[in-house]
Amino acid sequence: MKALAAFERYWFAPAPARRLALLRILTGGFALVHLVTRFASFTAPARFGREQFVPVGLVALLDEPLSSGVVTLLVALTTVASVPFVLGLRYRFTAPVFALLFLWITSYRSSWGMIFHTENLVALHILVLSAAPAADAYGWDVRGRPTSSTLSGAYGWAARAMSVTTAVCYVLAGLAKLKLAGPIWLEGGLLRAQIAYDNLRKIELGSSYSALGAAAVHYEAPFLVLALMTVLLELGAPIALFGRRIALGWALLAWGFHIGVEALMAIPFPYQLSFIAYASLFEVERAFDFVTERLRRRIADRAT
Amino acid sequence: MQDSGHSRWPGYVVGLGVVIAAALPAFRPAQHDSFPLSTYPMFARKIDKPHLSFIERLDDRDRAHRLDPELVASDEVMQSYRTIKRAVREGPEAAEALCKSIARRLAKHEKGKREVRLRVVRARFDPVAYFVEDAEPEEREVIASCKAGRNR
Repeated sequence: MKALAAFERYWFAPAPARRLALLRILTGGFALVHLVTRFASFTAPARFGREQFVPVGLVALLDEPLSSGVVTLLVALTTVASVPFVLGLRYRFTAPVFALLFLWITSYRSSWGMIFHTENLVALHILVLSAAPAADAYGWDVRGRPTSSTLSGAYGWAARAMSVTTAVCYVLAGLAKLKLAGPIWLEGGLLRAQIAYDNLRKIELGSSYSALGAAAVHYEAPFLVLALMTVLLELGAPIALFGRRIALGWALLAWGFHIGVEALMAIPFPYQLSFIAYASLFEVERAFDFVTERLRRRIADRAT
Repeated sequence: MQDSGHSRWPGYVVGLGVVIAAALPAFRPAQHDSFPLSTYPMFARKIDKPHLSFIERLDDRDRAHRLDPELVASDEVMQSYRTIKRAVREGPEAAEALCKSIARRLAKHEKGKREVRLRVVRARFDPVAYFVEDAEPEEREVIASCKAGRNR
């Protein structure tokens, strides 16, 4: 019983409604921009042949691919559904609808032979947010009402769940390297070959590649350091759950890691690169207050 | 908001449920990937001298040029890679069917102004030597070829 009580104290640690609301706006806002900018890529499966269909996740419920009209309609519906999610409009109804639609279209996009590992985390974060009271502040339905500063465990668990999910995903990535390749992965040679192969593949398939990655594979030594740092960062992700300062250090390293992946392999992880993936680790309302106060002062200074 | 047991059930069912579900892939083989519950096997596999299948377009002087991935499947290069790989794995007929469908699409896109000659190629590379020594592929095989457009 003591363990359960300790868990409840951790999981339902009181938090302000504003924190959760800001996470909703940031994550939902990211999803909205992602859907708009990648609309063509989300609807591309409508052109693919049936023989390419390899359903994953929820999409495994389908025996056959959807018609092109239905694919386009679902992507459009998801894009539209992201707006009330961000605004906090009729949230209890619109948020789960958006979360399920987003999960469906991202799963569908990954059901054609290539899994988009860039979208796992945002899909899971949106699922968590959709079940939380994330529109009790900065929401359309509560506009005009003063934002309560009361702390509640009901506002705390979602950020915890998002942070632990983030840590779990990184740990799994580290484990996969040790499970598939073994300790040899830590020597750096495999990472070097991986970066070389990824860039070679892009060149031979007519896509843009990383000139920096192509140049870097001429040298062996940096890859030993990069491989060790990668696995340490991934397996060490749970340390980010022990205090805000440690979280900041880890999140900056993880962000730097994704900058490195982009620079060496031209593979963007937009959710991570935007830093929104790590926002749940922090008291985002304090950053929000800091920024709005600075803006307010600047506007006031200009007016005088 | 009142912090009651009633308001906590989503925290257990969805919050804890998502965390547990995200962790479950740790208990299955890393190569069994899925979405959104992934084992994250990217960048983890051993790479020696892999085979790579790609499509090249031949110009009037028989010089080979790479095709934009968007003309193969989508602007996502990995989706194009999987499309070609799958067709090659299924055999010459599937590779030829893919070749023809791309050639037709390309000829239509160019309004038949130029003849489209394509080749589906499978080659074996040493990825590091490719950059460090400008190495050519160790093996190279044309799996299928096709034409579309002018004079067809």
